[in-house]
Amino acid sequence: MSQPDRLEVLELLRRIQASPLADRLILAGSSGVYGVSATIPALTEDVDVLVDADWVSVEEDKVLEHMRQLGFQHQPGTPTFTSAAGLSLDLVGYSCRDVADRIGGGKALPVMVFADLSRLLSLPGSTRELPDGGRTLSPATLAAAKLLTIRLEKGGKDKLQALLVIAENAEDEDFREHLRGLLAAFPADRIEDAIADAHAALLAVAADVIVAGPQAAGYAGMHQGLEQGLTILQLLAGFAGEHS
Amino acid sequence: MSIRPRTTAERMARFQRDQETHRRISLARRSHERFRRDLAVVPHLFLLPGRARMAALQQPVDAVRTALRAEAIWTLDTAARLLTGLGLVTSPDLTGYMTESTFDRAVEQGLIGTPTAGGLTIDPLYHRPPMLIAHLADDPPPSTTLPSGDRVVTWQFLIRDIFGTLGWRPDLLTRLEARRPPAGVAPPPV
Repeated sequence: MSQPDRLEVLELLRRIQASPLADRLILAGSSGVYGVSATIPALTEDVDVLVDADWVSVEEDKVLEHMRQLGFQHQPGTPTFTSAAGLSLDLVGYSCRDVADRIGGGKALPVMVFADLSRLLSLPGSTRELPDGGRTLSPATLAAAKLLTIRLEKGGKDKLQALLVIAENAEDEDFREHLRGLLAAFPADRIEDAIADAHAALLAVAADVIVAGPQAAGYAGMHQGLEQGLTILQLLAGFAGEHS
Repeated sequence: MSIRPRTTAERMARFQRDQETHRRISLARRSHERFRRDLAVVPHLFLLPGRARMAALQQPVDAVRTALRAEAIWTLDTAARLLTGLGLVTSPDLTGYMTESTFDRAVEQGLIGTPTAGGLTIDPLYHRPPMLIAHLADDPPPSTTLPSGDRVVTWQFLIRDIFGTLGWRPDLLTRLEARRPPAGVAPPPV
């Protein structure tokens, strides 16, 4: 399996756009960072694309055939496809029918369906077209999805990427309003946990910065971005200035 | 390690396990009354590499503190002791913000020894001589001056420094706040 770089991922999306799967697959996950930023590290070994799991349950055979034509071999019992070049692509499900964590898709192609993604995808402005073809999550939706993602084995990576996306779009009023609206669409305790998780991730980086020492200059700029992202997140979620 | 991708069923089982673990973490955080309030804190990294310096005290801690009183802004353990009479950690160090020239002058005047290259921590797990741990800053943090003449970071900045240096420590923060002098009341004498 190879680590996909940004150009490789965007090229894959162009190919998908030219296939019958166009508009059905949405770049997301850590590879979704490639769709919204040219500078934030995606730190991923595979490509995640969102798909309507209810549509997959009906069109399963066609999805498998279209993916085969794109050069991907399906791994039985999984949502994973691999290419001869070593690229790994995972289908991640959402649903327009319900908001629940479950297994959906079909018997041959089962996919995880995530309640949070289903909710986010039901809201306006959740995706956008990429300039060269293909769809990706919008920056605010990607940030919200990563803030809400719970994957203990990945540590704070999702939260750090979310904070960096927020910092990179800090001056964009539309982005801030969009993210504020997305945060408001979830119960308050979920957002509180997301901020606490972001805190923990930022503190882990701070420990890394201290251990790494001055030679790891790349950390300093990242840490500033993380602080800025956290500050804006607190503001948008209504937590700024409560301490005195 | 197997390179077989996880089945969807395996992913769901792992996701549910993570959700359950996260729920317990969330409950543990929320068992602290201050949880929600502390979400507003932006941690500040006092021990930032390139900015932080450390050197052993060559004179008694009170003598060094008094000598640097006009130029240093104390934080962390030193500020906590000055403000509440109680410290945060066991290591009897001085922790504060100052300019590089102040730090260099402290070396020249024999207040502190040669700066050390490693071991930069305010909470060592071993015994060491008392240190001056300085964050070199041309742009000083917000501060207040105590009746003793010592300057300390503002309460809010102290919380940020604790958060960014020791992590989220609701036990320490709660203990510290319980001893916070009311507005207008002088802190305990040094």
